[in-house]
Amino acid sequence: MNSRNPFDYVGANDLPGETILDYYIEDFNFSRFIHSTRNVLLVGERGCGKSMTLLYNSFPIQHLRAERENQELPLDTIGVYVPCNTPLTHKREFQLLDDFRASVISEHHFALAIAYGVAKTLSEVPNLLTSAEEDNVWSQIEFLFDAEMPRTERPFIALMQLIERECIKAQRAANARSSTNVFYENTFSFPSLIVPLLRLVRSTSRLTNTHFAFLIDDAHDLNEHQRRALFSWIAFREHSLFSFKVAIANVSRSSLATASGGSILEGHDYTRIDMVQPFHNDEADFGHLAHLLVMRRLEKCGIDSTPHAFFPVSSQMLEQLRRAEEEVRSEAVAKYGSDSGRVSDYVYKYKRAHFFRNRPATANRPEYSGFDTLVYLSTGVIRNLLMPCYWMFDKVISHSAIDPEPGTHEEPTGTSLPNEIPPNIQSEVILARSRSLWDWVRNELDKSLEGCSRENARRAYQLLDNLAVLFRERLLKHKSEPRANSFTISQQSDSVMANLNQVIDTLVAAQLLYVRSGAAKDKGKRENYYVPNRMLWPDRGLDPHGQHARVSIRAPDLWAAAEQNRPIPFKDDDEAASKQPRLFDEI
Amino acid sequence: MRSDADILISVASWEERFLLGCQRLFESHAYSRAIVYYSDEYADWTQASRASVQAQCRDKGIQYEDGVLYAADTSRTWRETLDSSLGQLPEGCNAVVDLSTMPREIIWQTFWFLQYRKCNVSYVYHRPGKYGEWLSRDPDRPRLVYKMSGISRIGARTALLVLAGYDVDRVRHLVDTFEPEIALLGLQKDSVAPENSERMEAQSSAFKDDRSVQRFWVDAYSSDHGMEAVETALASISPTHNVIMASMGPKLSAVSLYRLHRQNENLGLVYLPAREFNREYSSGIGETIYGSLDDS
Repeated sequence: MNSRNPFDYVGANDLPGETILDYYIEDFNFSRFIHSTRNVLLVGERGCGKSMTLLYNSFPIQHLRAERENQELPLDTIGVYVPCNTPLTHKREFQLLDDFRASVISEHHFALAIAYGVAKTLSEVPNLLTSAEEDNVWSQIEFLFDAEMPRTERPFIALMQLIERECIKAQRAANARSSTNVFYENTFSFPSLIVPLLRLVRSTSRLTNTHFAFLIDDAHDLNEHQRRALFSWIAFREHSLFSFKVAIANVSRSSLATASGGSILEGHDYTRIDMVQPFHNDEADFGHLAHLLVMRRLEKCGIDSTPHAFFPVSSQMLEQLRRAEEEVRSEAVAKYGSDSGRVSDYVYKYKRAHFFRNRPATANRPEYSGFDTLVYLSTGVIRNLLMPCYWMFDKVISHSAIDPEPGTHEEPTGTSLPNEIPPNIQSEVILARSRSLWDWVRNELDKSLEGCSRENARRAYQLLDNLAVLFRERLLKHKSEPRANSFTISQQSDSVMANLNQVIDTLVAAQLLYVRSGAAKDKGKRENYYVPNRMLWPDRGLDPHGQHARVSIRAPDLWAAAEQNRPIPFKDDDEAASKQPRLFDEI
Repeated sequence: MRSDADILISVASWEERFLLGCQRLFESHAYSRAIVYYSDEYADWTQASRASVQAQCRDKGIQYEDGVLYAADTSRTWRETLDSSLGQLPEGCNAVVDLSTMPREIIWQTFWFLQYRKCNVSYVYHRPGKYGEWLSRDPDRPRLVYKMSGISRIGARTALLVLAGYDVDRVRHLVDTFEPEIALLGLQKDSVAPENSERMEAQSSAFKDDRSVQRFWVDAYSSDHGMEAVETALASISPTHNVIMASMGPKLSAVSLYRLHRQNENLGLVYLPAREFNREYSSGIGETIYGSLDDS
């Protein structure tokens, strides 16, 4: 592996601060909401950039940024990063206690983790305290913890050690080998630890007006008591002192209940940001974000190119698409004369379908290439975008090691950096990734997905397989919406949906299906629609570039496809595909 | 094995080695009591073999008792089954734990309770005559083991140590769940299973491009069940990381991880449960391996 691969897609926690600063794109992903004092839930599956967004807004990275840009230290808002996917959060000894004591000990650990985050963050603020303030902070901390601290360290470093000691004490009590008891008496809570700590910090001259943003990452890993406690704090609507920015995988699978039995409400208590973005064409936000993100990574790697130039479309395909467009345009002009709007609409709908329809039956898979294709294949998830790019880059580097290309740029270290990823390599990697995704669905789902039975794995595969068959038929034969590759579910009944939802949940958890909400045809209502991971389509000869349409499929037909492997009914002129409100907004 | 051992603790299974193993043990040693646990989810599958062991106990004058392992409620298993049987054993008694068909989580909890009661703990492991193609599917969420979850430091990153079995996806599942900064993947050196080297090669190559995964070799069938190799692999990691350890390879490796946990309370034990098992996983019974926990 080349360590300079600009498309490295490791988790944000494994990236150095400098790299986060280099790679993070603020635009087109709502991340500026984080700067507000509102509570924000960042919702999305793995790899959509939640952790990166939180880390970018944490104080150490913002400090780094200020230094780079010769700006003042940003002390109006201090982002405190609190990871939840830790062994401490995964501990389960609380399950051996009654509900009350379980909630007390769970909140204790969570409050300590937040307090540790505050102390660690403040320990990184240079020259924070005057000597008088330092004395006050020392004595207040000692009072809070009822402990004396050796004043050999700076106060917030000592506070970190004190918190760690408290945390270890509670764990030792729970794991005591001489007793089956797992409870620890001297617990803290958010009101008894975090609020006094923040008030103490605000009593210092430099932080008088500071707002603390708690950046809670992977909140889905919190236990039920900790989640309830968190949502109770979120329900507290006075936000001058603190707010929560919470990254969570899927809100629908986690209850939003608070400890008092209520529930937090979107709009009132928090703002929700969906990190998996629905629209992927050039004009859409995700298209812009993808462009900026790849551009930035190329720049940082020392490659002077644009995303479209670096990932060129195969010239053969471009030529074939040009010819397809000519032929389709002639058809449109013959049909609609000088009505340029309808002609454009017709060309948009049928150009790519014409290309796929007129390929010889014996031809290989089309050459899947071009930056736009990669963006569509990502289905709106950043990691899905970076992963094939990473493999392509690595393949080009490997090839150049055995057969150096004259067009590559020689680094001082002797490593060659490519000027582009040739279309044939793009296509090879895309097809290989697509094939391997199908192999995983067919053979491994029940072995690698929590709670996925063999039966549900079989159903999940059969449902996707039959959807691929349906979309293929539509691409080749459908009269009005040939490239539709998302769907809605009609004729939903409780009995069918109870079964079908299990399969859908499996596919969603496996990131093989994304659920989105859009305008329905009826009276401006909203409805859920479903977008299969587009990386599935190249192996089936489909076009990952979708169109602004959703296929309406009856719930019983989807269930029959999943359960009995029955083909989903297809009509070449159905009215089921429904338009999105605006032509260029979708997919 | 000690000759004065008097309590046998086992988990009922549909595998032939459960019944054949009990027969073998009852014929070679005198037991006063047999405690047989069984999973409520697979009670039907184990009913016949449990009845047969119970009959053997009756014939030999061994006190027989059984207890339910609640698959969907591990805290109930701890409280109502393990604590109320093992937690009430007379201090200092001699106990033999049959690891052969016992889930690793129950092995660790059984060891914990026996040492809590200051018992002298021996263990036996019956190898099967033949292995089938696969053991389990449908993984559930990995879980840290009660009382053995380790002592975590708040600011430290996670390191995951996995003694790998034959299933690459299960290892990947653990890595994906805990997102460790470092994963130490222990590969089994030798095995009676002919496909071992091929499967270990598959594990090795599945993670070869992952810079966060370090591989090392271990032999669970050696006298220390690979403990020294694991200790060496952990040496530079454990002072700086929150280490959690999973045994997915040979069952005896669970013993070495337990011992390491007892030596160092910071090291946590994690168990990856499964919801579906292969009824044909093994057949017959092979060699029996004996050992005892040193620090009881």
